[in-house]
Amino acid sequence: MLTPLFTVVSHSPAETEKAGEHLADKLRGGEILSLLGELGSGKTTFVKGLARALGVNPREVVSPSFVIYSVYKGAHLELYHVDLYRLEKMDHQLELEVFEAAHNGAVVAVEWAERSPDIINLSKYIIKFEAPSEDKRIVKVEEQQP
Amino acid sequence: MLLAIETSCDETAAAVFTNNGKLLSDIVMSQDHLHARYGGIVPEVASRRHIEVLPAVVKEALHKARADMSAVEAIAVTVEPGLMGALLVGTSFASGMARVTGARLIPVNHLEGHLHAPFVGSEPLYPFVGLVVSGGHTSLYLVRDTGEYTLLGSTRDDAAGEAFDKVGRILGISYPAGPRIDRIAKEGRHDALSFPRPMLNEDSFDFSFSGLKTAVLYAVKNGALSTHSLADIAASFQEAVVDVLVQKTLKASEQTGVDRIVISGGVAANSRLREKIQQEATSRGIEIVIPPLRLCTDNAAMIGYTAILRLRTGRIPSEFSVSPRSTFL
Repeated sequence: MLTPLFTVVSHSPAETEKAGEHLADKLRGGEILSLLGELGSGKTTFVKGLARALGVNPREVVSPSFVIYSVYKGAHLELYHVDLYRLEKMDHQLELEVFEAAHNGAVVAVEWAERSPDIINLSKYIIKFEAPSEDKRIVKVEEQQP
Repeated sequence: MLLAIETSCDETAAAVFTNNGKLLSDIVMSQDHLHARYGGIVPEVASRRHIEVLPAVVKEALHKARADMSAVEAIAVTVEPGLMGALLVGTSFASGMARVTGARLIPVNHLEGHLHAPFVGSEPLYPFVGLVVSGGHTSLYLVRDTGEYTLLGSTRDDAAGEAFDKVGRILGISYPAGPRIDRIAKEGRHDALSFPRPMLNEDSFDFSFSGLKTAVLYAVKNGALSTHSLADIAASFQEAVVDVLVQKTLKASEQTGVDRIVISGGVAANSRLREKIQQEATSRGIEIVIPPLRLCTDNAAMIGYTAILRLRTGRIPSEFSVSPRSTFL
């Protein structure tokens, strides 16, 4: 079951980052976040805000599309930044790594989670990104009860 | 003799050098055909393939060099950055071999390898401004000497090669999109559409390609494919990427006063980038050094060559950690 948590209508990357910072206040470690939305809708920008709030320099956060995932050390928590974009066919080893990281207390943000129904099912937060126009983004954050 | 091993992404590669740096063999086994089926690299497929073919690739490299394992005194291996599982195959193989034969293990950073790729087979020319540009990296360095690197700037979001791949997908051009966009763009006009040149006027050497990708997406959503040819869109997008890469690199050369530029990595194979940087540099009296195509993409020759330079200076990194980070040095 999904409960709406908050929705941000953003007009700039800075506002999208703020949405990420806002959600970070709720995180205690061990949560999987599924980020859903098309190319250029603000997913990596949102993770930059999340990272800043967790004590990671957002400058270090870049798209992990190529390496599939990056790990950042925050002040108290580790942040896994995963990107399934390049995987048209899901890699089960990678799904296990995502679950293991969360089990070990990391915050795991998964871009292009559409590629893995299992990751979406086990996510605490579902974040949907829409881009109705070039300079407008809608970020909907929902909490999922198991 | 020195054996070099590279498995950071989807090429399985091995090379053999004499102790004084003569390249005896250089074998690269590409997995492109395997990953094309999935529309991109699948890490587990890459790792498994490395496990399957690495022993044969190493054997072939030694055979071509007319050497056997007992003659190998040092083993150079890429330790970072790259895909975690893929790196682990190469480093485990190299460590095991070093343990059995008593050869010295030399960890090499993949980006340090790319920076030195054009000099394989000759002496390095220091200092230089180095642009490493590929699917995973877009970083600008000042290289003063072996082991003396200053990171001037890097991408804040997507790598340039990643922008080619993602725009390829938007335009319906299949993986690997980089070489295909290059080819299609030759038939198009690069001023047909006006795309942004992100961060071009900012006082920093950082890059950003995410907004450019979004601009192409919106152009297509707004009907660009019916008003313009695919070739025009591809050429206009490519020109925006090339403009930013060329202008930033020239600016780095100007500000550091170093009048030699090295461009390396998979995107250095792009014909428009090669043409434009050459044009712009010649008029400014700057020397451009770009490796031959086979050394632009991932290979073990650049890894072995870098290890030999390191051995010469005695500066061998002591730490040995395998890491999937996409920036380093």
